[in-house]
Parts: sequence; C-alpha cells; structure tokens
Amino acid sequence: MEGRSPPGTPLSDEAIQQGKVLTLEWPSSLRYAWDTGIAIGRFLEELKNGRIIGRTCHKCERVLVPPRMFCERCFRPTDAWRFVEDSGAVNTYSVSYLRWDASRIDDPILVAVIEIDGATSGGFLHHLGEVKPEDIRIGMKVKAVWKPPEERTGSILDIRYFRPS
Amino acid sequence: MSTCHPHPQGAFVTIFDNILERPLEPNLIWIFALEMQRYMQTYGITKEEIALVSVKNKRNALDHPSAQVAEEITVKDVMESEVMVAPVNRLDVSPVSDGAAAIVLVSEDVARRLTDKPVWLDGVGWNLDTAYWTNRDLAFPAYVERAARMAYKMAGITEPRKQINIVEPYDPFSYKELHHLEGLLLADKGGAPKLTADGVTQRNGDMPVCPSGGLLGVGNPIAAAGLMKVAEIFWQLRGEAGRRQVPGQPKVGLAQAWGDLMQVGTVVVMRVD
Repeated sequence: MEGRSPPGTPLSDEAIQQGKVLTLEWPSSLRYAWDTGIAIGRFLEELKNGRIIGRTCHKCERVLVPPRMFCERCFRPTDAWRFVEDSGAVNTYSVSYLRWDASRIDDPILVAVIEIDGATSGGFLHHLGEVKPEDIRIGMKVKAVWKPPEERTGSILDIRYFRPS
Repeated sequence: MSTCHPHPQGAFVTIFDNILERPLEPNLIWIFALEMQRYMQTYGITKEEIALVSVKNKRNALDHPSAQVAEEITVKDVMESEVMVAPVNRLDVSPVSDGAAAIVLVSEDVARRLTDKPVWLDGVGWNLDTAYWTNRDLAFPAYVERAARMAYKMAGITEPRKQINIVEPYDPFSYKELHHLEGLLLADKGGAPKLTADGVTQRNGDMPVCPSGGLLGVGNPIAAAGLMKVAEIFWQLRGEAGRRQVPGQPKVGLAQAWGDLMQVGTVVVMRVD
C-alpha cells in the first residue's frame, strides 16, 4: 500500500484552523445525580443522627451493614431495620502512601474495613485516626468519631474516622 | 506504549461505591492491600513468601518477546521497593500496560480440518459474588472456587491437582497468584506460598504457574489480560511456547481471569489430545 493515498480528500490542520471545515460547538451539560435507593438513603439519614442502621434477613439471620432491601445470599427481600453499634473491630487495614490519583503523600492515609458490632459478617470501609500506623492490628477494637451534629450532611463522612477504643 | 497523563489509576476510583466509598477518596490499590493483609493474617503468611511470586514471574517473563517488566530480581528487591499502600510494595504490582490478545474459536469439525493439533476448550466457568466486598471473606476467593467447580464439572476434572498440568492464574498482584491457586483448589487454603517456596510452581516444577511471566512480568493490559493467559496455555499445550515451554508435554491447562470489585472469577480448562 506504500505510496498510495487512501480515497477521499484528507483534512489539513490548516483547513480546520482557518474554519474552512464545517464545525459545530456544543457546550455539553452532562449533569447527573446518584439515587441512594431506600436502604442507603435511610443509612445516610441515620448517619446524620449519629447512628448506624442495618437490615435484617430473617432467613439467613444476618444483620446487613451496609443495609440493602434485598438479601444477595437468600435471593429474597430483607425484613426489618436494626440499629447497630458505632463501634467495631478492624477486619483488615492498610497504610496508603498514594492518593486516589496515584500521587504520592508522606503522611499516609490509614484505611480499614470495620466489622461493626451488631452486624453479621463485616461492615464498611473507612479511615482510621488517632493511631500510629505501626500500632494498628487486625482485631483491634475501634469506635466512630462523629462530626458535630450541625456539620453532618447525611454522608459517610459524617463519621470522621474510627479510633482505637 | 502510550504515555499516561494523568495516571490512569485515577479512573479506577469509579469502581468503588459512589455513595459509601468514593467520598473516602480510595485508590485502586487499597482493596488489594486490604485483601492481602487479611490473607496474610488469616494464614500467617509473610511478605517475603509472597514476594517470591514476583521474583518467579518477572524471571519467567525474560523469555517472553512482549514482556514489559521482565527482570532478574530478588526477594530483597521486592521488600525494598517503594511502599505504595502497605503491605503492597512497587514490585508486588503489575505495570500499567497497553495490549491486545485474540484467539480463533471454531467448531470441532472446522478445527479438525484446520489443524491436526487442535486445542480444546473442555470447560468454562464464571461466578459473580456480591459487590458488598466489605461483607465478604477477604482471605479466600469463594467466587473463584465456584467458577472453578463449574469449569471442572464441564471438563470432567475430578482431581484438579492431579489432572491439571499447567496453570495461568490471574496475577495483577503477587499475592493474587497465591490467593487464586487456592480458589482454584490447586492448593490448600493458605498453602500456595509453600508450593511457591518449594519450587512446585516454577516452569520446571510439578505444576508450572504463570510460565509466561504473568501480568507481573509481561504486563497487565486490563480486559486483554485474561485472553493473554488463554493464549499462553494454547502455545504451551501445542509445544510452541519456545524458550518458555514447560517440560513434560502438558495435556491439560487452566487459564483464569478476575476482575471488577474483587468479585468476578472466570476459569477456562483447555486440553490437547
């Protein structure tokens, strides 16, 4: 194929820059919103109240945190709301020297999966605070440190972090 | 390779739950570090034992013509490489890669017409676990076990450790190769590090694992990586893997892929006559 131009008339950069090619400008407005759904909506509402809520499944007898309206193990709707504690234990942890975009940081982010007291099989991801990286242990007891009520917005960040208890 | 600016890792923030996790500004490596920590704690596994996987795979990759990060390294090199998200160090992680893989699938009749040495897909299995990953047992990939059992049943594999000669499990991180070997029922729970230390998984061992060099050595072109492993088993079973060829004319091989929020397992069992 060497030496043979493809069929048609190629566009030059010059032609585009000089406006000789039909162009269309469209300022995009791609706004969207997430829907929390019923279960996470209630979960966030209760975080604002300084409480953690789960859903129970009467078949497998689990207390699900984060809550959901459907039990993925039993393939059936969950049955009732249940408040659980704002304390728990470290299921696993890590010490992150990376931000979300892979840029480096000297002061590491302490991350853990917290097994929430009163929930069955786990809990959720959050930060740890008031602890040195080298002192964190799996199984360590922790408690939520909440933002003051007036600063809460119904977000996972209404809990600042979990600290050793 | 195309240049990567900004670093593509940022795109992976979108795999996390948009309401419960993204506000915490998670990095992709967090989930691996958390899983690796839980795996190590549950079975009493050390970082040095896990580092042996990087050493093996990067060395194997020296024989792969497309390898991106093949090198002769030591456990000490892995341990002293940059700490990214403890316990994950730089050399525990596969690189950012571009790549593609393709295979030709045909019916039995056509395969016999085209070649006198077809490779058969004897069994396939896949499984999707819950996306509520913080509720799962992170020490054992149950979804890989379910996918493997599905593929083994289809392929008539009743004793995988005896019947499967060669394995290409998904190894985006060093511990993942071990984690997946256990999920595939090719090692006892917590037993894969010992197989590695004993040399069983070396290219000339009893059960070669990632003879290609794996994602840790060849590279990790996401979405092409699983098929890359199918291609390697194809070459190995046909005796066409060149300097990477494992000895002993393997008859049955396994390729495994993995993904999403640590909850998807796909297993393919392949065979030559």
